[in-house]
Amino acid sequence: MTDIFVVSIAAILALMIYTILYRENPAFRLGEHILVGATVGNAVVQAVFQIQNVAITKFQKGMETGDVTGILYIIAIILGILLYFQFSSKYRYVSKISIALMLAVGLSLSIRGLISVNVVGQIIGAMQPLNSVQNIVYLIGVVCVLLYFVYEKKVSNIIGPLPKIGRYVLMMTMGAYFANVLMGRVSLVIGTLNDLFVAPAYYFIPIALLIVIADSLSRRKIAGKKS
Amino acid sequence: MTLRESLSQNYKPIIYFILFVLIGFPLLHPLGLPLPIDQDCRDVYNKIESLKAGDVAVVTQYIGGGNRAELYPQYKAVLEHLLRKDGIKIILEEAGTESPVFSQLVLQELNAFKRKTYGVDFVDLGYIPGDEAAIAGLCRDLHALVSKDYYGTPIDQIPMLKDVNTAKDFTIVVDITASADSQFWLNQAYAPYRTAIALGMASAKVPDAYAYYKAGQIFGILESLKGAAQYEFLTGSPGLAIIGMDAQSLAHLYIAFLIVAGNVAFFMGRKKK
Repeated sequence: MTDIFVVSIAAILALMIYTILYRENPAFRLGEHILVGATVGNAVVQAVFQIQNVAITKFQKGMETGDVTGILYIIAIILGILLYFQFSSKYRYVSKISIALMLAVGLSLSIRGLISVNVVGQIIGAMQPLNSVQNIVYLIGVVCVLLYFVYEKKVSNIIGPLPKIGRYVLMMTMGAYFANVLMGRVSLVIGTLNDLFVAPAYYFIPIALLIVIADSLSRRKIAGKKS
Repeated sequence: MTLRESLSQNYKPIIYFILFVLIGFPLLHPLGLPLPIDQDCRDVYNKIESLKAGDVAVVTQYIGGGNRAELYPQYKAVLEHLLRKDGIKIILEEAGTESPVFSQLVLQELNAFKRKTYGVDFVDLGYIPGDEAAIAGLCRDLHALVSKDYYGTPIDQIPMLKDVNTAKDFTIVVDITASADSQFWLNQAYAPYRTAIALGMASAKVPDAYAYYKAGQIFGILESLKGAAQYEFLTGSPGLAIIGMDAQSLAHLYIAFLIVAGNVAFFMGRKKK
């Protein structure tokens, strides 16, 4: 019984969202607001539990046992509270302490890995043995794309048409991105239709279609009367 | 009406209707179109197949309502493969607030609690907030970062995690995501500990992942629904992803046709001007 209820609600909400393909309407807006509300509500609940698990529990444990590492979690809790000074125009600067610390920690954490993975690793990865057509094309692509970003006029005169080839390689890469995004969007429709093609969800499809057709006809009638 | 004029009409409702029919029909009546297996997907399968008893597989995911259709079939296929293997320690971790729901769903659908023993063969750490900082903490000292699992059991009481402390103890990490946390795992697990990583990606992120695959920094990629379908095929457990591939192929052919038709209309219009 619960399953039938859940499937029905999911189907109705999915169809409400898809009505945007017909036109902007209250059903779509209601579905959209429910989605946003549910997502934010879930995130808030998760955040509260996480603050409790990650910081408050450890701090309480530290206070009970006298463990300094546990007690130090109070600093994280205070820094977290300071973030809420964003909402005060008078004391907003206080929140900048936490923001600055978050940025510093984030940057210092990522910089080590970024250089190793995205700079050194990628340069090593680009040095492939030229024993296959794929690797030769890969090397030409890398060189031409790099040359495309050289804006020095004297250099441009020497390297000739290579930046143009780089531009085409970049355009092909954009094409690959676009095709992948398209594949993703189609996958989402497939996922939704998979959910709609189970009982009792499919009973709602003709109902939704009839509502859309009725609305379309009534709008046409009103438009006809006005003209 | 000339060809150019007819191509320039606003056919939006008809285009959507045909698209829905082309996607919906193969879902109800699968066509059985051939499904070639990509090397990046096969590499993921082979690596998991080569795992031995005692190896630790971390499966982390950032699945939400918006990318569920692409990523959930991947998650299910990879976990099905891991659950078939004996003696593998499976650690589930979630990076999104909506993600724990999908871990619970997949464990239920795969009957994991009856097939394996919770706490001995697999564990769900639940949602860990903090993005890159959390992943860094998980890789440096799992026990210091996580105090309880998803069900509230203290980590110290979970037998399979006794010898698992840092990313050095992770044999493989499979990150299923549509977000930037794939980069975080590379930064925090691959760069300092050389942990073997595979990425299950939403399609928009796949071209990014190829750079890492080509450079040997990750051992494989699962590409969107296609990757899930290929993995289902390799494990011999066909599911929704394989059925969806017929629909995907037809939709792609249709969209390719629309792109060509749009370009023909554009160039014919320019010629006339």
